[in-house]
Amino acid sequence: MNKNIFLLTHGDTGAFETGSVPFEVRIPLDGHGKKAVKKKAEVYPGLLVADHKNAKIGNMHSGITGVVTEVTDTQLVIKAQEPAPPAEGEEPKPTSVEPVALASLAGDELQVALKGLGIDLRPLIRRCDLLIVNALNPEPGITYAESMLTHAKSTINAGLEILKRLSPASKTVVALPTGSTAAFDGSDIAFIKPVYPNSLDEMLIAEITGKESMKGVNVVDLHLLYNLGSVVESGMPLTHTVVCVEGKNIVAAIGTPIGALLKDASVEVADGDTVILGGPMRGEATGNLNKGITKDTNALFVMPQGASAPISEHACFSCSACVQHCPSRIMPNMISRYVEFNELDFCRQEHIDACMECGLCTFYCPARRPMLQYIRLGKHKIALEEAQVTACALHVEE
Amino acid sequence: MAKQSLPAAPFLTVASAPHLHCGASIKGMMSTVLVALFPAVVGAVYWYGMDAVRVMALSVATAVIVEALCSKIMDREIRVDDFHAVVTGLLFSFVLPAGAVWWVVVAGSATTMVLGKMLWGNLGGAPISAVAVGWAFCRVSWPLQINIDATMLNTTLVNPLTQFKYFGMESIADASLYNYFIGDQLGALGAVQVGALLLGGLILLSRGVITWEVPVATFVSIMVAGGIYHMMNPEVYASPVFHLLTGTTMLAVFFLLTDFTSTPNTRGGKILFGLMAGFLIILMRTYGQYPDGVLFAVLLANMITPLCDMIKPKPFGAR
Repeated sequence: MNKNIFLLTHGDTGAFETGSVPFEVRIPLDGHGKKAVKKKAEVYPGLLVADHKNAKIGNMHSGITGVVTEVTDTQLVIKAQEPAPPAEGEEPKPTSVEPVALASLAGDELQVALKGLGIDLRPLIRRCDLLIVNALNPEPGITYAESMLTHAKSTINAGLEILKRLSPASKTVVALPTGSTAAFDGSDIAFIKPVYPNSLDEMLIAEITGKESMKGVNVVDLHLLYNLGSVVESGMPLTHTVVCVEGKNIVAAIGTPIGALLKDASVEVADGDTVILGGPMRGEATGNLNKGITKDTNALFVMPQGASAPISEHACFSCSACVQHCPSRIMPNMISRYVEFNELDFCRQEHIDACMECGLCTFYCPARRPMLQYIRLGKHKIALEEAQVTACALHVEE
Repeated sequence: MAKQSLPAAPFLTVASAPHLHCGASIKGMMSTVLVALFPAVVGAVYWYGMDAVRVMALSVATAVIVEALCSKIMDREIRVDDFHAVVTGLLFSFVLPAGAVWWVVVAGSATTMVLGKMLWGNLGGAPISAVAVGWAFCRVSWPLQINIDATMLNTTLVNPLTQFKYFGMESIADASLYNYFIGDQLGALGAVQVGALLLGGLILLSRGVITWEVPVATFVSIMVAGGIYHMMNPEVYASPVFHLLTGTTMLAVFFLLTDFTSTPNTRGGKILFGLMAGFLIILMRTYGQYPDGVLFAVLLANMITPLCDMIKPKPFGAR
């Protein structure tokens, strides 16, 4: 078996390509209440299309020039189209927005400005003493990290600078893959062996602090930092992000349909293939190529049909492959059995909550059991049970 | 919808993460085990001729048919194509003498599959080694028909274990360990192909089907416990190497004690399990009623598997 597939360094893959302008964007909305634009409104890059009532969740902006064709609770569709020429005697319509100067802002003003520019603040301002920037490629197959540190270093630096102002942390550490030559002023550097699952937040924290506890530590990954940096650098709203499409890094408009992006990278999709949003180990399969990418979409992969044996309902036969490879040092074999039989107390006993969902147990399982899915199901059931217990307790108190 | 200008979207498969797999399968692992057993099969045929072929073929065929029948009766999916039945049947034939009568082979192989695997559900349920169960059943039911010396009268090979048991140290004093290693000894047809089994065990280790913990711990334990006895009185107690190279020991070290379902999963558990099994093997050989008590040692060691599995590392971040 090829062990190198978990290697997270791919060298510099060159500057990011700029994706072609899609024929439409489907901007995903997640609780964005007030739509700033109506159907048939003409929009241009950077125009606010939906804002969120939560002050810490970023607003959404159009990435292309076009016309809004559909507004629902979950998405806002903009069809690319040149604006109609201004009628006689009319002022020419605006085609872009004014950049916002962020350098002079601080504190709440800065947060409000960033929210207005489409940045989700919650992962940035978490209470912590130590801030870790995860500059490793998050998963096998994703290749943007080194290119970002080489070709978009100024963007990353700008993002890091603002991040330090936002975060309450007193110390910042940048986690780089071993052998990287990137340097950061005013931040410590930690070298991490670039092998999956070392890129997971939990593993990074354990490696850097020496303690297996998430308390007082916040990890920000490179993709988010790049988004932040590009906003800070230009002062323009966040409309584009980097997506690693099968190893090819493309700067694409947020809301670009997955199908269009795959076509752009000349990746063929056939019937029965699996299209993955995110990395191949932790990403989520999608059934709809028309879905638009989000701000957080860092990768797109296509797994051809039959690339791996299908998941089976085979019983665990205790080969202990999962136990051997588990970075959390728990026993996925027992936990998956307990979940099958709904024995949640035993799951707790086996420390199901220590699982960092790296997916290695499923990767190695020769019986092809859906180990990670069982563990997630178990965690979900435990959370439900605990919520019920809390609700009961409150009821009794009343 | 007219506004969808994408070509008719392909029908996609959705699955839960992770979307990669290492490619290992039960069938693949069992095929590797069969490859690893092949040198011993060759050795068995070399030393025992067509008698060995007869027993092995009968045992494998019975195991496969019994598993299929059991699955049918239990109304379960028939999974004989994962080769586990073939491996189990072959391993069972390895602990039989080449001269075993056909009905002992059939009854033993059937018992191995029924009591050692199918009664517990299917692959994955049995808390004990199927081969040891089948052998123990035959050993207790038909002691004469499974007795190696009684069934193998037309051979010039010598059984070192019975010699040692009944005639003492002098009887094996001039025997060469090299001869034991190449299989020049009377015993169960596959189990005494010691060198071939060692080769097979190394194949399994290198292919990652088994891990080093159990074989190494068992080996160490046999050497230490056997060594202590041997040092106490070399006139009465045979050397640990003798124990390692005779009877079913090598088969147990690499193929029975490393069985998946009946052995521990954690590293610490595996090591303790191996140490325990090696110690039991030496105890059985020294004090037991049977010349070769290895399979009973395997059964007894299986009993402590759940206890061994309680030795586990501290989970990530646990206090």
